[in-house]
Amino acid sequence: MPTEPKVLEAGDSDGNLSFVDTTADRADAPIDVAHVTKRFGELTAVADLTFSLRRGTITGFLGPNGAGKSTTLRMVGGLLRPTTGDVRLFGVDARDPRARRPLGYMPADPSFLPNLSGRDNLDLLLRLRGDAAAGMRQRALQALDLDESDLGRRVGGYSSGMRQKLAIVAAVQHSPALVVLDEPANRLDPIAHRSFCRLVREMAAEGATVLLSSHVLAEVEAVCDSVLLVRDGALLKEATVDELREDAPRVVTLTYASPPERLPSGLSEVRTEGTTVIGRLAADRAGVLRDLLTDPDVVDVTVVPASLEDVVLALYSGAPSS
Amino acid sequence: MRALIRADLRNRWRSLAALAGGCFVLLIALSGTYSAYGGAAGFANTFGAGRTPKLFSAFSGSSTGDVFTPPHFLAFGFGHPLFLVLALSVAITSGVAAIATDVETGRSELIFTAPVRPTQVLGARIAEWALAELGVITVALVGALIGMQLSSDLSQVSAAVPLRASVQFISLAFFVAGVAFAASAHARSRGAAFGATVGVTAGSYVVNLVGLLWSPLSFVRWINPFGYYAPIDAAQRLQWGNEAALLAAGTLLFGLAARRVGRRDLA
Repeated sequence: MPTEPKVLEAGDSDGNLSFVDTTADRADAPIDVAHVTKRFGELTAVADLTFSLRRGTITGFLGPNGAGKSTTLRMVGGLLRPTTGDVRLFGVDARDPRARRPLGYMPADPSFLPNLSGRDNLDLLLRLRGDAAAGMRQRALQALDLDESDLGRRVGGYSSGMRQKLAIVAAVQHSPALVVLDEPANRLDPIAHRSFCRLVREMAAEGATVLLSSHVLAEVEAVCDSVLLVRDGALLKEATVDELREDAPRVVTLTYASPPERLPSGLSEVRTEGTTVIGRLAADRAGVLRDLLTDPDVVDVTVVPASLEDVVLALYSGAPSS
Repeated sequence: MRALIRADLRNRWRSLAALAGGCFVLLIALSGTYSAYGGAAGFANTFGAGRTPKLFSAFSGSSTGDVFTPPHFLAFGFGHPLFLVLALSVAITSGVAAIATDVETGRSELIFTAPVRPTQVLGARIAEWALAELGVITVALVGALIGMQLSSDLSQVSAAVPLRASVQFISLAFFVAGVAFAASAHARSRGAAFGATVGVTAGSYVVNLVGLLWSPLSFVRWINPFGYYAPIDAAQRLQWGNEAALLAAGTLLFGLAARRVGRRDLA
């Protein structure tokens, strides 16, 4: 039984992010993917995927290779026709050219006209958008450290990193209300990557909705409000970044005065190294910690929150996150 | 869409210039060869007056015309196999690049995510091909006209002869472009589109040649495009029936391409 789509809420007055089931708001959601399946012959790349985004949010789209991320993004970009289900941008079918007017799209492996300059390629992509203005071009160029001399050179002579930067500029130069980025961090140097993250956050703060596919979990953790995790073409989990971390088991390190005679309860995956016991703290954290802190044999307790990487790896491998 | 046409033409102007230059040089060289060989008299001495070898006539695309008379030889340049390879390469590469290459390289993800209909992009690519093909044919025609003036044997021939031959060629190129665009619209890779187009074009050429050389198979000429293309027959007057047949078949193929591109996945 397929579940009804959820909408990722931008946040409440305290800045906390939360999910709300706002099916009624789906009509004008920047992206509304409803029960979408995409098959290529025998292969099912996307299986009954349903999600919806709210304006002004940055959503990370995560999953292992072959999970169906790029296929989904291509359906969002109107490039692929879903086998079943609907993909809508601001209420309009993604295959309708009007739906793509507010869209900025960056493919995972951008391919420009190699014998034209970077500037000519940007101009071409802008003109394909009719009367769109390059309101964001200069800002994006500055953020990504591309100057006029770079833009004047043939794209065929660009490094892969410069092509990546140019693709990011091409995706955002017309100040789109919806930005879809397929692995934008690929090939970016750390400085450019930091600037890119800042640019994305600024755009979201100005009202743009961003869907960002990435393998760089640190990037997702730093930039995204929420994440969609997919595996084998199906939605595995949707949550805010904070919720994911909150639900994930903490790693607890206990130091005893002498080697303990029995292992503490409430921990999983426990291992012992002399007087040190390491385990994962999951359910009833407060209760378990209280017991540990009142144990007279325990002389030290260290609790380390799980990183997004721990959470995602656990989900990918099929282990429960909480 | 004019921006796309301009950008695509600028991106590939070097290869187009090379093809046009090749056609230009070939047609001048053919004129020079004709005079160096002694013109019609020289060929008559070699083969006997009015006894053109069947293979030469077949290469000209005609089963009846004498390829060695000055106007026919001039028109023959537009049916020379090397000229066909060079000039039809424009149609084949333009058609293959229109959709299949973009899909394979990922360029489609930049172009088709703009608010444009796939058929608009296809239309722009067809217009781009038409401009490129006209440019190459114009350069080839100029080569033929210059070659005429450089040859004492051909200088008396009317300039209308190469003009009619080039007009006749445009209809053949239109058909081949139709094949290339239809293949491109259906294929997932440029290799598949290229293979299908070259296979149809080269196969048709060979079948037509066999039909011209062996009379029991002469009927096969009318079921392939090269049967409708005989530039030396166009030396006297344009073959309107042949033009219409090629243009109609080409239009059908462009229609198939448009129908397919509007429905297919573009990545």
